[in-house]
Amino acid sequence: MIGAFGGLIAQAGLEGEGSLSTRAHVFVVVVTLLSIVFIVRLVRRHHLRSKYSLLWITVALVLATVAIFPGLLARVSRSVGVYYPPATFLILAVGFLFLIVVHFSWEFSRSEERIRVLAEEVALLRAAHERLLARLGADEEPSGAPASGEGDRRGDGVGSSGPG
Amino acid sequence: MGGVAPPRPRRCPIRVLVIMPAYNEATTLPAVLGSVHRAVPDCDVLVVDDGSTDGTAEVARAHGAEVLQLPFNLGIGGALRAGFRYAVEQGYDAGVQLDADGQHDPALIPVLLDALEDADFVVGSRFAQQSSYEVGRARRGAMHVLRFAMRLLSGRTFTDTSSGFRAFGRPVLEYFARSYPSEYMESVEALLAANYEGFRIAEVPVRMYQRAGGRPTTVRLGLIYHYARVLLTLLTRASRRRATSRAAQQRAPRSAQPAAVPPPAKVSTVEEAR
Repeated sequence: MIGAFGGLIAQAGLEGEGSLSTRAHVFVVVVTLLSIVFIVRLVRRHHLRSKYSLLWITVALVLATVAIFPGLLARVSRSVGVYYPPATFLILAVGFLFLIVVHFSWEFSRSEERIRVLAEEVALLRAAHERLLARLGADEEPSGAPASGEGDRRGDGVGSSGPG
Repeated sequence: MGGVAPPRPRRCPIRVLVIMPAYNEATTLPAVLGSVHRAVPDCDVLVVDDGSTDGTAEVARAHGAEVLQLPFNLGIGGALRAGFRYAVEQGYDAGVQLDADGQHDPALIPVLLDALEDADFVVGSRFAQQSSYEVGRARRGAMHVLRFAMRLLSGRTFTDTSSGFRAFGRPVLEYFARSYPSEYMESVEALLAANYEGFRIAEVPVRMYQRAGGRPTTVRLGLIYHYARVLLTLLTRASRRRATSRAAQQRAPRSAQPAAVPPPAKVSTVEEAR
């Protein structure tokens, strides 16, 4: 996020045909480097899974390159036929972010489905566990067992497990 | 006492599980469980507590039902799939889905089960006959759209696509235990999926009460959004089917068309039974 911000500023400073004031240049480079440090810290604390950390480190490095060599983007833009270098940067940034968001939607959907399956599994295991406890309790202290009608039904449910 | 119960003769030829998804239904549950027990004393009852906060699970247990307690709210699709998985794991031959809020008349469960003899999947329809079930105008219009879409995609007419009062044979239980949809208004998609899968689907008219407690699942404001979602889900399902239909035709010779035949004869007997 911060890296993208830094890159954006870099492009804003690029408007005058690649002539960037030294102060602005330093500012942009510092912000970009800070964002790299931020990502590396996240990775080291295991807040990010490696696939994402790799992704964001790559992004940060690209941004840093663009920030340190402002002439690069201008040259690329001219060769592609875009006369306003910041536009090149914005198009690439929007396209990239779009892909990322779509990917996240996909991944969230998959994660949610897995969580649902886990929740169902938990409920089934919990019920099985309670049936088991009820059986054990019935052997030792009958007072702990549920009503007899339910007990019968449970016995039936557990006992025969073939489709018949 | 459950464990020491000696093996005893089976009272019913097939083992049936009544599956009741319940979300905060502690107030209506005792009455419903009571009438289920009166209507079908041989059936086991499973209440799937979908993350309730009002002690639904305890109430259900106190009234002799088996309980699956989901750790958080999954919506009706998730609750049902958990129920289907339980039914399959415990070796039940058939399942009946019944709302816990008292909308459905448990006395009609045997009617659904009878219809299951000629079908794999029985839907209790509120609209198969003229019925007293009142639906708001907006909702009625939306239901017409849904029914039209279903006719387009499935090639046959279902009078009630979103009924929550249904019966399932063992093969359908197994299919749904694997793949019951979890999206909003999952019953519509489930109907389409079962139809594509070649199961024999029958409709049986049921009367339905206005809900005894709780609130309707949708407010009118969200109706368009929800129905758009349902239509999208159906289209997705249909497109997926087209992609796999060739393989499905090869392995499943059961065609969907004969499935449309059984209902008429069945419906008349149902009316007599009432």
